[in-house]
Amino acid sequence: MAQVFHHPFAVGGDEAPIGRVSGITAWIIGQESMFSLLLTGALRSSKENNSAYFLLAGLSFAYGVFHAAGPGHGKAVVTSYMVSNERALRRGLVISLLAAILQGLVAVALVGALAGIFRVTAQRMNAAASDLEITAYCGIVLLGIVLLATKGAALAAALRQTWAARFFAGAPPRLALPQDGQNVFFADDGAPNHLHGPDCAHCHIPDPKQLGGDFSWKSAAVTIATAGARPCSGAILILVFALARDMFPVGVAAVFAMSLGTAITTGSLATMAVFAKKIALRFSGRGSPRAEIIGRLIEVAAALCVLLFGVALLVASFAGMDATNS
Amino acid sequence: MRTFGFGLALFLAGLSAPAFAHPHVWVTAREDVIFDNQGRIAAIRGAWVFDDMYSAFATQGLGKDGQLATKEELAPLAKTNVQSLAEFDYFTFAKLAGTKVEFGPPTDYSLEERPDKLVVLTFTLPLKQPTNPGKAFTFQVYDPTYFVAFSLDDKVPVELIGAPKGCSFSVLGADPLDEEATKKLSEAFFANLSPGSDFGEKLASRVFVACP
Repeated sequence: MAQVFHHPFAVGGDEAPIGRVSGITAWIIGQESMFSLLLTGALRSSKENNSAYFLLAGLSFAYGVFHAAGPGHGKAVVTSYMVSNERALRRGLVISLLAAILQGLVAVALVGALAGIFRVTAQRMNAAASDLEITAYCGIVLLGIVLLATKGAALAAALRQTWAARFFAGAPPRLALPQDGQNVFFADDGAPNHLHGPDCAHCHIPDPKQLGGDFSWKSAAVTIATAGARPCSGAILILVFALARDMFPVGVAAVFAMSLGTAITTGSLATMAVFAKKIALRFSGRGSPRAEIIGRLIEVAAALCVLLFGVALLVASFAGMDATNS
Repeated sequence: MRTFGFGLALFLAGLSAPAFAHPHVWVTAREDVIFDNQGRIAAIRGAWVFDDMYSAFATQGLGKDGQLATKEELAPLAKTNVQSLAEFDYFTFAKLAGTKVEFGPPTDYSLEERPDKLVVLTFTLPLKQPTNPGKAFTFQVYDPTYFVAFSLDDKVPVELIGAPKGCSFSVLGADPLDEEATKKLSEAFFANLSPGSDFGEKLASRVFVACP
């Protein structure tokens, strides 16, 4: 992780540094900065001018779209999760939307309760945001472990089937067990074009549709929670500022408009990831053992990404805490 | 089609790389160059005025009954700010004839809320070795992570304090991220930066101090 220390003027958690960029990344940052300025400008003037509210909502939405286009941990977690676990696109979109709304809710709850009710200081708010952040990072690690275990087991099973099939392919016929009602193992040459009819007696690679059924709302909920638990600095600043100007509801509306924009971008990324995986599988021959293994490998790789990502974030945030405490 | 899988893995790796931020905090800075009695540059004193949003954030929960937050109330935040700034070279990057100038820890620092409700961080940064500026002492103030956009004050960007006769300064580089100017900011501006450019540094003005 590039950012080991907490930023001196951090608002909530640390934002990722931008470092060296060019091309489309630069363009996105340009859009982000522009909408950020327009948005804060509209917020500043909306106290005097009621018609600024709609403008504010539109700008917040646009800002959310571009802000989410950059790699942040929320998008990375949702997208990796989708690649690792998800086949149903609609569900992925719901997950993206819920994560974005949760992110807005967390920011509103954090500022509303801490600043609005308990009137805490900036450091207390940063500390609370930091706790949330660490909890979210632990959640990512946990999600990574669960996904890796599930997907690793599925990969191992797929490999076992194929290896077994290959191993027995050149073996004497006595190893091939004919259909006897109990034992259904049979020699197979492992050729991808080998036909498996419904009445085929020998061993089947598990039907991907059945394996796809291992969707669990638990892991989806953890994904939503970890992706949405960390409020972004922009939202916190908008809310605190709106609160100081006695226009908290305006800030809340702006933040939720931002959430909607974020959901659209995260949803698109998740969609792209799922399509990329589908295309990869199609090219490797749908339903073939090879496609099965490649599919499983992609899933395991994505699960590993989630895990490593969580560990990296956790390590970085603890390193940062040590630096500020010392 | 294994390459596709690799591509996907790369795509994911790219997603998880920390790479993005844009300014959330805006600072208008005034940088005073302080000379010692031997005519050497001894310290740089920064007075950083934060924008109204960060100021609202910094002063939340402080200031009783609508009063301004006091220096004492803001002292703990000032301490946190300055301690963390140490890890970032105080965002102050000075060179003497092309060589990096090292700073010691700030000799004093404070945070206060002005009557216009903007918060100002003031701190004095001593040079580890007071130095004769000659013709080539320059410095820039910027945040390499670009979370904070710095611009120098329009009216009094720099003042030379206790400088020998004949010393002068100049400021090079527009302040493209001055808050007013940035309203005209377009993606073209960012897109036109050369590949590999470092935003914070690229956008920072450079102060030159020269003495006879």
